[in-house]
Amino acid sequence: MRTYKENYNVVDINSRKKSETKQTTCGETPAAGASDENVEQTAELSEQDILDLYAGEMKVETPDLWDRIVTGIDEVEARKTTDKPVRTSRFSGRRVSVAVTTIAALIIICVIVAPLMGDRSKKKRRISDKAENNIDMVDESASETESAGEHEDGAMSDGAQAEEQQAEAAESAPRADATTNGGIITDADQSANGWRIECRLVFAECDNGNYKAEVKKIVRIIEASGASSATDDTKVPVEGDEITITIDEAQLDRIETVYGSMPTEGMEISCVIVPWGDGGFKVVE
Amino acid sequence: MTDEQFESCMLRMANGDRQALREIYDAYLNLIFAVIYNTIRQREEAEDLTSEFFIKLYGLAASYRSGNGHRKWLTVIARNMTIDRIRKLDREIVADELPEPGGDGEDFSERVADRETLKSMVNELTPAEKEVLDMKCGGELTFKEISEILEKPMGTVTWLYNSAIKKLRKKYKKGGMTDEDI
Repeated sequence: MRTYKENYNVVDINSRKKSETKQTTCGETPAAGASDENVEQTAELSEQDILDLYAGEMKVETPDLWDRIVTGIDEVEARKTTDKPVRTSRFSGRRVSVAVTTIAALIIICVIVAPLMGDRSKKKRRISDKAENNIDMVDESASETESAGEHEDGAMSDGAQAEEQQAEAAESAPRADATTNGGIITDADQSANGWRIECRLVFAECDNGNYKAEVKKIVRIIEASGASSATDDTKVPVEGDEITITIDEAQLDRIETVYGSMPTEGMEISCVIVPWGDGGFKVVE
Repeated sequence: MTDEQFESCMLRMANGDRQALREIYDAYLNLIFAVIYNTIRQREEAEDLTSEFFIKLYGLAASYRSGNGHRKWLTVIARNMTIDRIRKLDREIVADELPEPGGDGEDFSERVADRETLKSMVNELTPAEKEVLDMKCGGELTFKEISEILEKPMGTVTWLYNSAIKKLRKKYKKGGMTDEDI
């Protein structure tokens, strides 16, 4: 390491000249005419001499801050020493209480909440299974409303009506084992969250007042997995305009209702789906 | 100071060796102070920040990852610290708006009474020229490194550098400085 004195005495000036020349040949000083300048400098003050003068001036102008730095480091280290017992005290009351509370909360979640959630999801599946029995009734109700000339509002109210009918059906129907409706349940059970949906959504009679009147039937099969649905155009016969449907993650726990957006039209649709066919769902609204 | 020497110093600093910091301080105080001062243009702030820089560097030693170009690394840290301070002070200093030489800005060489010739030499430089010259001279940074730090094209940097050298040479002639003065 070179000290300051070494940097700026005559011997080192010469050595720096050499290094500067090397840099120039390596393309570090590509400015036009720079080499000519250096040739001229041999007769007068060289570039390196000027740099050395300037460096000497910098040195004179730079304050000596070493004492301040040492004092600052002392203060920082003293602060660290003072803070250490507080920070590293593993058995201080607050840290222990936080740890115990966290562990207790985890145990409660694992032991109590998880089985309850399991029961809830089973119940939901049963509701879906039982709603299947009433799908024809819901379909008829929706088409009656449509034929009566009701548009958006009518469709939305029918959706609510269909939901109510499904709920009633679920309540009134005798309890059936969730596993009896194989495909749907199996898919759902594969997910750690319990609601990984891999289903085929068939949109039928999707009548929305804001949508083009001529698009009466849009048939779309959506492969929905995880948080969002992914459309597979190779499998999808589409009638009418192209639509993209996204299923929000937060809505996956309500398997009865799926909201989709249609970017090309800039509007949203609301659909009621019920279990249908071979492990799929049918959109009835 | 080579990269290897710098890494060695940082390792020693990580083990609490203050002498290693002293070696880095001796080697780069001029560069760091100049870089900070050229950015913030206030001597007291520059002194504070330079002290803070070396204190911070001492703290960073344990987490330092070796690599090429420690001078650039140091310069970038110093500049970033200064920019943070300027933001903290709610000031905006743009290079183009910096005071022109001989203007109201604090003069780098004000304190030196017996070096009038050099003082007048330095005064001739624009802030941009001085910034480049300080990095080149104080830190022996390459033009490429300077252009990366200042985010200016290398052609601009070399032009500023050559312009500064020309001005200093011209001023030197006027000042009548001889080779014996060097």
